Amino acid sequence: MNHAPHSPHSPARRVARLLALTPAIAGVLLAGPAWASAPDSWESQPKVNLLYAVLLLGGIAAGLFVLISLLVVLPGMVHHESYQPALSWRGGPEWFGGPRGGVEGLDGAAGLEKLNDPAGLEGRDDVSRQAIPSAEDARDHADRGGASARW
Amino acid sequence: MPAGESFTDSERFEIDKAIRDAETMCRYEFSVYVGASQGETRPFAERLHAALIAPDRSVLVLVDPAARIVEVVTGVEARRVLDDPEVQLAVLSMQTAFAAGDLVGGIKRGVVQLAEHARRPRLLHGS
Repeated sequence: MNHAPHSPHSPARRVARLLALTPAIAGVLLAGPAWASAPDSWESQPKVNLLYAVLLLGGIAAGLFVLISLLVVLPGMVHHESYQPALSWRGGPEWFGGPRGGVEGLDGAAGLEKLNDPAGLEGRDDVSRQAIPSAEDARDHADRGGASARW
Repeated sequence: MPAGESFTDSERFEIDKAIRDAETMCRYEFSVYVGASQGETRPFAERLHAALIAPDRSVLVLVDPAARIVEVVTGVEARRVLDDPEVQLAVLSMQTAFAAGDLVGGIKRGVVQLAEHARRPRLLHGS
């Protein structure tokens, strides 16, 4: 004996589907503001202007957004970035903890060039030979150490 | 002030303070030169080092931001407590900071690291 298979479109199935959805639909439709009236002891609040409410609630959020953004951005704007790897260094030489007067103070004017070319100081009376290391002086310190790198 | 121009007063103060702290820490002299090195860097750095008041007890850090070179020269006495591999570690630290654009921070970090290595107590007795 063959039983006819239950069709998915049979009336019984349709009713079952509707009944299954009914509690959910009813819950959504019936859910609303509480019908209970406010107690008489409560003060009656004046009506709030919609624009005022939007400005108040949105304004606080927007203000906080602006304030936090400023707090994040301002330190970076105030803090001076004097060096960026992508940009070339345009500042003059600075010598911290060096001889008094820095490179220029070694022998007066154009000390940097003379520091690189001590042989050119021969016969100069206006140069403090004591302060300027000669090539021989540099070789005397052959036991110096150190290291170097590029970035 | 445009980027790459020079140090601000507060940055100069920070570098000066790092040098003073380093000298207090290890009792060796520290000097930092920031600028272009004309000619080859190492000979130039050695001449700067020789121009210091007490070269044997001095450590010179040369930073050439334009050529992106950092060079450290240690005097004869300083080298006894601050050997080249230790200097290389400090140079690596500076290199990392410089590559990230932190010139002042790299100098401070490097100087402090050199001083920390140089303050190693000397053993007065041994086997």
